[in-house]
Amino acid sequence: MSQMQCLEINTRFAEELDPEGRWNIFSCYQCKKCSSGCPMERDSDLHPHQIIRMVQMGRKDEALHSKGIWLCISCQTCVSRCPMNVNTPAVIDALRAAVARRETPRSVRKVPIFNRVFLELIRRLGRVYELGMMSAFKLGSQDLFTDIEKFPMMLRKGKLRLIPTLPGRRANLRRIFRATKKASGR
Amino acid sequence: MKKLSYTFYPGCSLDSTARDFRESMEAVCDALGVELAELPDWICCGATSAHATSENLALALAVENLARAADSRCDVVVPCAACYNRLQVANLAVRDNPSVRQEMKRITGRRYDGDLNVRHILEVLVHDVGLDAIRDKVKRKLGGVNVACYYGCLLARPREVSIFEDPENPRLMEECLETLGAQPIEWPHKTECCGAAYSLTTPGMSLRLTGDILSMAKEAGADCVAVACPLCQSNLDLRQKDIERQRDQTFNLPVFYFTQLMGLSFGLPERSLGLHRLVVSPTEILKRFSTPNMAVTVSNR
Repeated sequence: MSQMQCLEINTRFAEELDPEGRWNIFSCYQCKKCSSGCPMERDSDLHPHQIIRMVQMGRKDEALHSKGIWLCISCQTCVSRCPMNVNTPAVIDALRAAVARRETPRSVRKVPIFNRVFLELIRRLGRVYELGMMSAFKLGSQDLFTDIEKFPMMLRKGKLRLIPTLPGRRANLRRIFRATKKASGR
Repeated sequence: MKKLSYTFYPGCSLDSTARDFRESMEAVCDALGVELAELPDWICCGATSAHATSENLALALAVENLARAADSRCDVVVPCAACYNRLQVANLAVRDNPSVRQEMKRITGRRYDGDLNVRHILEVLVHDVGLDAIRDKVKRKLGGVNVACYYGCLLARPREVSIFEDPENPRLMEECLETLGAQPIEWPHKTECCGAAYSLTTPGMSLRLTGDILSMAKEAGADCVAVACPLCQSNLDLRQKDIERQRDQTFNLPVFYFTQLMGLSFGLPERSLGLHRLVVSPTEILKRFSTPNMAVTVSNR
């Protein structure tokens, strides 16, 4: 008979991510219903049930350095089907917020770059307009040519605006971004 | 009929890539006597970058809009599925959780208790306006063409914000389109994910997801697709040629906003519905709509 192995579980990481226990992290019993319906399943290193397991066991580095937390599209399929109401998308959002900027795996680095550009546009302008978004994202990700052939057609069809319509009152935006800066880890 | 009035939150997409959604939605609402008052100085809801960065930031951007809308006391109507989802999630969080309400007051400096209702335009048209009122406006029955109704993720999930009785098998768009005499098909990929904005960041994954949806629609016999979300429309329509090339397969499936189909059936001018903005040309399908196959029995009475 093989020897029984005792695994050390460190619950502190889960408590850091979800101090009020809103997301039922420890209710997960690995039925894998989440991963069966997950759209990133074929592309990801970790699947949703594995990400939850890493968090349960306090395997912080593996969870934070996975591609999976960045490939998650936030489609909400996992939480909608979970028999224990584990809020996996919320856990993944908290993991993304906890990752330091430089520690994202190279293959998914465009995701946080996109998020940063997107939020910077909102902070400055109050709205996102695609042309500004695309130009800034292309510069940020150093990938200038993807989709560029679609621009003339989109302009012709009026699907891109050269000059965006912007909200007049933007003062409160600065306040909101300042007040949430700490929580966003920026 | 009593006048239906709403506060209208368009969201960023409806100003650019989804201008056709806005045009057709406004034309249809106008025809049905639904009054939409755009929320002045609305700001972006932050989807999905904000919630991937900070939960409080995501909630605060939504609450800032809702707090500004609160004076009107009207329900807030949202056409974009992602905006709808973010506004609804924040609205329920503020309504149900006093500590979130307190935190939002600290961040935004505004008091908002979650007493507005956040609604999606599809559900407003089917439930508030009603199928009978819609049927009364039909001038041209849209028979002879098979339509795959595609809902995507964020109108159906998570369950708390779903506008559908059954989030795994929504029927609202089918009910609406059947009223126009259209023929929605049964197919399994109604609520699969299209990859949303990941078409920009990890296009490989996103193109595969969108391709699977188009491929399934085609296999199920669809002649066109109807959607209620700007991101779904953009991925299925704008990227359809790329996917065809990648898969060496022809789809040729025009992707309409359901409001464009409503407008067509009401006899509104095509230009007012933004049909010229679709990337996959709808011309052939429009011809088939206009010569309805009389043998097709329309079961909407």
